[in-house]
Amino acid sequence: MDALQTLENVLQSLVAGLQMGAMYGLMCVGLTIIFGVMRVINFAQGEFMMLGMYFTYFCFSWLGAYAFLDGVWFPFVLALLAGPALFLLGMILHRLLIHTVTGRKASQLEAGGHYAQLVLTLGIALVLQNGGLFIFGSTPVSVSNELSYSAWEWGPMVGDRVSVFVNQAQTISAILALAVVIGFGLLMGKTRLGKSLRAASDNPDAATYMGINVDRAHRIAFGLGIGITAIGGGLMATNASFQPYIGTEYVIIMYAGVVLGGLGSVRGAFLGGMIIGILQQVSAIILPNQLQNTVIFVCFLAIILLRPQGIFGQRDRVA
Amino acid sequence: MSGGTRDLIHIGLFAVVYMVLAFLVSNSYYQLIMTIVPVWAVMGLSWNLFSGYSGLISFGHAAFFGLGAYLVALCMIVWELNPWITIPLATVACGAAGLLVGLPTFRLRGHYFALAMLAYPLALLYIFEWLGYQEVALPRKEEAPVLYMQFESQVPYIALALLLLVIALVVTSRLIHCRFGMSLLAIKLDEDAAEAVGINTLAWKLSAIMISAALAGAAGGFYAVVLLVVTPLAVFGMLVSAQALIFAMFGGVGTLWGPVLGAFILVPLSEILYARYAADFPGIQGVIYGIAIIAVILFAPQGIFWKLQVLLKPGRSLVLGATASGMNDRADVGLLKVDAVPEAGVILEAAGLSKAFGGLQATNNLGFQVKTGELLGIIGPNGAGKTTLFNLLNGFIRPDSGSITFRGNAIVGKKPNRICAMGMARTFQVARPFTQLSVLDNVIVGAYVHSRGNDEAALHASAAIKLVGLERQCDLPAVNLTNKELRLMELARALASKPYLVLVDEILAGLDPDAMKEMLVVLRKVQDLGITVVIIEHSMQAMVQLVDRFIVLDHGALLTEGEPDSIVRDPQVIEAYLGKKWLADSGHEQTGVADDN
Amino acid sequence: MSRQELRMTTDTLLEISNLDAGYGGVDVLRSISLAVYAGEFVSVVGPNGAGKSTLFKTISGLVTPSAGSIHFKGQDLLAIEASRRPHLGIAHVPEGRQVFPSLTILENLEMGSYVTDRRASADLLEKVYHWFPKLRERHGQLAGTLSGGEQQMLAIGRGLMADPAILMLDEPSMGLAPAIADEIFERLLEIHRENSLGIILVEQRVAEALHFARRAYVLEAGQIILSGAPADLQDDDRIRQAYLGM
Repeated sequence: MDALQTLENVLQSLVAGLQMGAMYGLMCVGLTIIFGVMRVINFAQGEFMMLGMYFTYFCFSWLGAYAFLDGVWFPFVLALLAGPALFLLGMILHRLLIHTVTGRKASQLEAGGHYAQLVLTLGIALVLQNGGLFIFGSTPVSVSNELSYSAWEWGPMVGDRVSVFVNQAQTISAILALAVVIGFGLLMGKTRLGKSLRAASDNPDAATYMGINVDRAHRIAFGLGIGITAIGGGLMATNASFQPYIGTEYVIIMYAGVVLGGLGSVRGAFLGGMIIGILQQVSAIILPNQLQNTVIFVCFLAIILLRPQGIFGQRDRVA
Repeated sequence: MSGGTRDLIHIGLFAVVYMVLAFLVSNSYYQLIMTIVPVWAVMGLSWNLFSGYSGLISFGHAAFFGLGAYLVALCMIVWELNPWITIPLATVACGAAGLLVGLPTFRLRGHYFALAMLAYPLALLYIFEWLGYQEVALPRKEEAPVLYMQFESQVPYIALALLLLVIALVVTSRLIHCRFGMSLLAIKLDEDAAEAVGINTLAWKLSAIMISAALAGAAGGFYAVVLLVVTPLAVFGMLVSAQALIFAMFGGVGTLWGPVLGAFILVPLSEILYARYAADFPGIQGVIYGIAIIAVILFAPQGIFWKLQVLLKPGRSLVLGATASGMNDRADVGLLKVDAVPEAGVILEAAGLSKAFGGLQATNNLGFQVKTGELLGIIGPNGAGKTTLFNLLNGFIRPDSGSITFRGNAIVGKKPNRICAMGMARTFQVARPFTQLSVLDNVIVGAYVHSRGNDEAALHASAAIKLVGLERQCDLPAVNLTNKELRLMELARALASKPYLVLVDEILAGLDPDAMKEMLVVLRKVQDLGITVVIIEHSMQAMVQLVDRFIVLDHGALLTEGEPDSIVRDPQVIEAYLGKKWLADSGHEQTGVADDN
Repeated sequence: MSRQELRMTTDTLLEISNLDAGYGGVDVLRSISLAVYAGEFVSVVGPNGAGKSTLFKTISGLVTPSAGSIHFKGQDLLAIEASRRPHLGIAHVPEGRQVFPSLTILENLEMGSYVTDRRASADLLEKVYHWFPKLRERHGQLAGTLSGGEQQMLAIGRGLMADPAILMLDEPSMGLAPAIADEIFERLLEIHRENSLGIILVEQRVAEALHFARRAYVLEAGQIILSGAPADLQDDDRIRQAYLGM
């Protein structure tokens, strides 16, 4: 094969990988917050991503008609707004359902409540997925504007033969994703709230001795995790079309990223998501479409079997 | 009548009633439902047999279901093999697949295990899509319809589905009433305690997943024949795994009829709702299943079957399983007697044992001997490393350095169930009963390691129960016992494995003086049988009357050893317990020790 | 009344009456009654398994008693949820230190002042650094990497950051070399004297505990078998019997 052509393909994939990776990374961060603070594996995480997508879509459809909102920046703002909206939903869900299977009460349940958590979130996933199918319909939709179809050209390089096209919408999404992660990192690292969440995750009993309400901390963490993943979904909505079942496709991607980075580590989750994104896009050069995701599964299984604690793995207090 | 026979009768009755119904129902749609429901009941049973009993949550049973379906379909298309051959073939192949899946995945626990299991069917889904098998249709074989399981009437399909279900029920019934079921339940309720009583947890988990996978494969294979079309999403999709789980959970985990109940309620419900409303409410099936799961987890986490039991028989706690045998009144305590060992002398020896956790040196170059037949007490202030020592002796932790010799064999590095089989038993500091088994079953689980069959296990268990004096409580669920009874049961469970040596970890803690006296009498009886006893305790008062010899630990190292009289007055020991200043402040001089006698 | 003023009164700060408490239906503590006055140093000693940690956990709310009452500053403590109790002025330094391992020393201390207002926190931090200079030196170090003695200092500092009226310490000497344990006890005594801070010290090592306290209780098998001034208790052979059996 033409070496320069290959080079161009590789560069193009790397760029796409970085862009997708940033968004995957954001979604992985949302997932890892929930596990890191609450030790809960949330099977419904993909569905909340899907809700973030639809939130962005519907707001765009209803409000996009108003002239003053008709800027290219509008979908991105909506994607960011999906965060607080789903944060509230997450808090409500926790109050109503999730708290019954987490926390100190739950340690009385079988297997320390993990069984119940897994199954409960599976139930929620089914309801959201299929409820979504009913409410939103099965026709794929997307939120796109001029930016989705425009690209900057990086090049021509190597004497006019190699050119890499960098999609503008995806780049903006990736930058925003990175910004949200950094913002979140600051929240956890510098604010009293963030520190109290980390304390509650480190040692719930000692946190109670400090006057921290661990149940409330869990509720906030759950809301944050859902909200952040929803932003990731909203940002992705500007790139590709989606339908209510899209969550399942992304569940394994998110878990692969989180496990690769180490369950409970925010840095690790973002890095893991980036690596998965790059792997996926680069493997598209050599593998046919359907097998791209299989590559991710294989990676996922390999990590889980060979080095379950991932790159930045935390001590597993659970097992 | 034993549980197994009772089950067979129930199964037979059920089959007869179902077949009669099959002939009475004439609506072809209902007939189809009558065919599908048993298939899903088998999936539920398959999931239950593995996850319901072992406690390892599998979200990946679709992998085996789908493999079975594709195997049958592809064999028919490519090699023209008929389902009468290929369904059993699929069963065996999926059993092997179960083994392949289990071997690497069982090294994981909890969340990681569930995640890994989730990945297998999804990976297969993508692979089969890539291989081009998006929609595999079974060809019509008009020349030999019966050979290819293509009947005109729906009734033979129903009969075959029923046959599959009956086989699954019989297999499940046989397994749960023998040591398979008990061992798995023990693993589910407390895997470490099960290891400690000699259960080879890995071997049992592998057996369970193999049989479970085989059943799922059979169900999948038959499903392909019924539906005549196989698509990756339909057989590998998450809904399949979810359904297996839901039916078992909804109906009742860890029971024979629970999954059947779950399937028989939920499948017709969702199918009928789907037929009626799918056009207007796409996705209604999933919503129903989702709500069902959520409702069950919130209100009846153990399933409807158990909830009904609790409602109908209030006050009785859940008791899982039930061995085929009952208490054997003729069992004699002498069955547990240890014959005088020719190499009497030292039965256990530790040398240079060290273990550090992070920065903390929990065990520090510890060495000591245990004489055959003695009652040795290990004492020391809190944090001295006593329980760590037991965990090292018993195989739960590996020492950083040092050696342990038991009955002449080096045991460092051996797994706890091996060490138990060699003759060392133990109780735990925080009692670890198998809460949802009866007292008798708890002790029988301990007896498995050295018993050939259920009856022999029951015999040994009965002997142990008699020794500790728990005959009256033998049918109570362990969760209903008092503190003292719990400790006695733990001891009986350890003794039922016919040990030469038993490690007793703080069995007296929290007991009132009368209970303590009772416990001491029992411990003496144990020693009288020739069993060596090593006991950790804090309560010096009791120990002083009981033991032959003391070993005193402090900060993980050996402080001193000797007979009770001298230990209690030893200034080093007093200092370790009460503090250095005690001797100085209180003016307790050590010169006139002999005068205190 | 400010915390400072509270410590100066001679009122009964903490009053426990006929407390029964335990785990899983089994009572570890039986009919416990004790009182702590403002600014007092009280020790609770007893062999292991006597229920000392359970006592603190019940006061803090992690264990719910089956009978009896606990009053702090006249308020019924049992009616208050566990995470609200530190706001009232009781700080708990738990058994085994229980620092937040993935937080730095400074962040641990900040968590200690979760219940105090921002302005007071800065002053308290200075004081804690004054008592334990090593904490100031290493303030950016992760608490999980500290030695046992340093973690104990951190845990005590963390408790002090709440500006409590009573500081409860659960076996601070456990797992520490005697020299380090001594140093910590000395420091504790200084803090107690300078601030008139009420202290409840639970210890297995009787000598140290009696040495520093104004009053002491002896707990055995869940019940209080002795109480009084250390001088009286030291000559009582019942303590030795409780520990050593004869």
